[in-house]
Amino acid sequence: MEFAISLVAEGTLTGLMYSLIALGFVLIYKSTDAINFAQGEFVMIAAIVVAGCIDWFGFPLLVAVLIGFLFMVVFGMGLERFVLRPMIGMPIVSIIMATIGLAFFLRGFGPLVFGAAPTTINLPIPDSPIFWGPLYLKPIMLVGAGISILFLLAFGWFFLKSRAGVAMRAVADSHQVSMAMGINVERFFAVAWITAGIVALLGGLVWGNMIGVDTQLALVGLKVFPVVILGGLDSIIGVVVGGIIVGVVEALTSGFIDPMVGGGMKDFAPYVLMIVMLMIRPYGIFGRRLIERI
Amino acid sequence: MSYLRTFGLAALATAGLAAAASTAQAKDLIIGMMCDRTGPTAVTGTALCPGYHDYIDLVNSKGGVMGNKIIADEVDIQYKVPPAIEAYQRYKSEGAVLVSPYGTPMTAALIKTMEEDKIAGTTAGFGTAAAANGEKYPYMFPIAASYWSQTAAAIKFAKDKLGGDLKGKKIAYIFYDNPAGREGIPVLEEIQKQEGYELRTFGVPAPGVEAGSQVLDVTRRYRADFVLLHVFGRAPAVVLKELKRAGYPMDHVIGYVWAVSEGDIAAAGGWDVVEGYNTIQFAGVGSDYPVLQEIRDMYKAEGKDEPEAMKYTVYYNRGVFQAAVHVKAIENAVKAKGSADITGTDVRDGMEALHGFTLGGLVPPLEMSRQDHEGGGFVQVFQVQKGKYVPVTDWFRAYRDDVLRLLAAEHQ
Repeated sequence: MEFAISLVAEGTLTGLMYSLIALGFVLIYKSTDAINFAQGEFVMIAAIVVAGCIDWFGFPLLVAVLIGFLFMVVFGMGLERFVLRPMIGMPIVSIIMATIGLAFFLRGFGPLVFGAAPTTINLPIPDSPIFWGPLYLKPIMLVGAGISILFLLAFGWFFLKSRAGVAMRAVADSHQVSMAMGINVERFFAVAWITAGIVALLGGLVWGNMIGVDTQLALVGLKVFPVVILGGLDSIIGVVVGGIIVGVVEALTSGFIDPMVGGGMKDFAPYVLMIVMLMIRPYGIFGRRLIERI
Repeated sequence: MSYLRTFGLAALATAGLAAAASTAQAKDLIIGMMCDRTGPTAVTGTALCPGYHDYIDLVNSKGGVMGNKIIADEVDIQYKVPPAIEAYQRYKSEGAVLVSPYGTPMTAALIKTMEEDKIAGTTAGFGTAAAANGEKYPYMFPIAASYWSQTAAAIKFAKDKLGGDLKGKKIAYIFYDNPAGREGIPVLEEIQKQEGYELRTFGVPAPGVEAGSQVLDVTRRYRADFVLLHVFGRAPAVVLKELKRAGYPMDHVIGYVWAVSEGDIAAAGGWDVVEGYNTIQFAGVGSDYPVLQEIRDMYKAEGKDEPEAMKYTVYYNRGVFQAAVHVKAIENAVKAKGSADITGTDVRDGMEALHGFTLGGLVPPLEMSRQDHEGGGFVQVFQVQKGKYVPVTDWFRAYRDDVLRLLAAEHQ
């Protein structure tokens, strides 16, 4: 029982860390109505820039993070200006295909410029676990989960309460109508992509510390697909719930089912859940009942 | 008449000289070398492949193999089977005299084809372990401790660390969940019969970027006495970091040969994180070997600094070792044939003729034969101590009879 509780705790914290990356998907979907298939690559490239600044130039962590922040802002703006702006008003599938192309480009660009050798981002967080009753908690996961919760609250407020958030949702609903209503669509596109970049940076810092930094870090983006499908592509609360479900399912599968079958179930169990969800409720637990075939 | 005789002799001499010149004409000898500079196991190739090329360059800078230049044709296969098969077809069409596959799945895919094509290959430190039996796999050469030999050595090391008796002890085998990772299991089960330890296996799904719950299981539920770590690519760093976070004693962990590089340690957070970690090596670690000095001198003579990859001595040294074995086998083949017109079969024979090959102490004496394509199966354990690798054993092998029995069973 103690082991099961530990697994649930581990899975919950991991799931909240998935949520942080999943937030990038939701952010883009809510503002552009498209899925950003390069979100994992955003995480990878942000982490590689920060780790590269530390390893190559010996910058202190804070300076490296600041450079990473500026890089992701410029990256988001450039992406909006040169890749996505020309697509305003075009079918959503065009934007989706552009993000898929971008993902492959970044996977090649990362090692080409920064090298393929893996490294890590050493955050000033102790490694020693915290024992709390039957729970066994890792400080980095607590920090990662904390960052996720703070950001999810902040974005929840932003989308629901702020004028800019309402405008972004309007842009997502219809580019043409938004423009007709005087909303600067380009600006909100840029804000969305920049913010997705910043979320990716935070995810990259936490996951880069957890699992190291190289192109494989982009795989975290794939892990997040079941999260957003389960929770609902356009729901911030769905991201939290989906993240926790995926994290806990993974942990329990690894702890109880993998030993019985010799391993291998952990990684695809969330995708089984995702397929089941798509069959019975394709818009997710908290998503809008709006289905489009693409 | 005298004039005619003189003319005839001169003509014969000219023809003879032309023939001699023809046979002595230098030839490019092609080695098909698969690499993994990108993809999930890039941590290996980014250091190993430069070591390989540097040694080949060193040989060529000294005139090649008896005047024949060695061409190492590299293809980055990204640890994937389809590019490996494509690369092999290219090597075959180029007339490569030797092919160096990379990775157990790729080797498994190519082993029969290479045998049919009579092209020799090496698989230093990875599978298929059964290829150590040269009578069953005549064209494949592990040339270094196979996963079976590594497993046997790891168990022996664990036994020594745990006071000389494994009865009732809990051994955890954390493995990369693919054919390479699973190779150690038969040997663990075989030795278990005589040593009486408890064994549990923990598969880490590829590419191994998360292993938190497996480590939780190893440390909190199973409570292993010793951990054998047979993962590679990104997984070693992740597992090591997780073990550290779980407070598991790192001196009770031993990593197989692809979980032990300086790159893995850097990605795990640095030397302090893995203080005490034991690592199996089949080539020496560090920079103090004559062959490495020769490479540094080569760079110096060219007015260049030594390459960055030389800092990653675990894999760089293995690249040098592999290249040196390849060159030596080709040299043996050229000598035996009397010309550079050698075939894969000649190289196979040249490989089997390797005896007492140590590369200046970088590797244990390699003793190859038709029966033993592994060359002895020796390893050395290095431990992380205060920011560097320190050897804690001599070259050794263990449970050899068990390993050979399993090999014989494969042969039947």
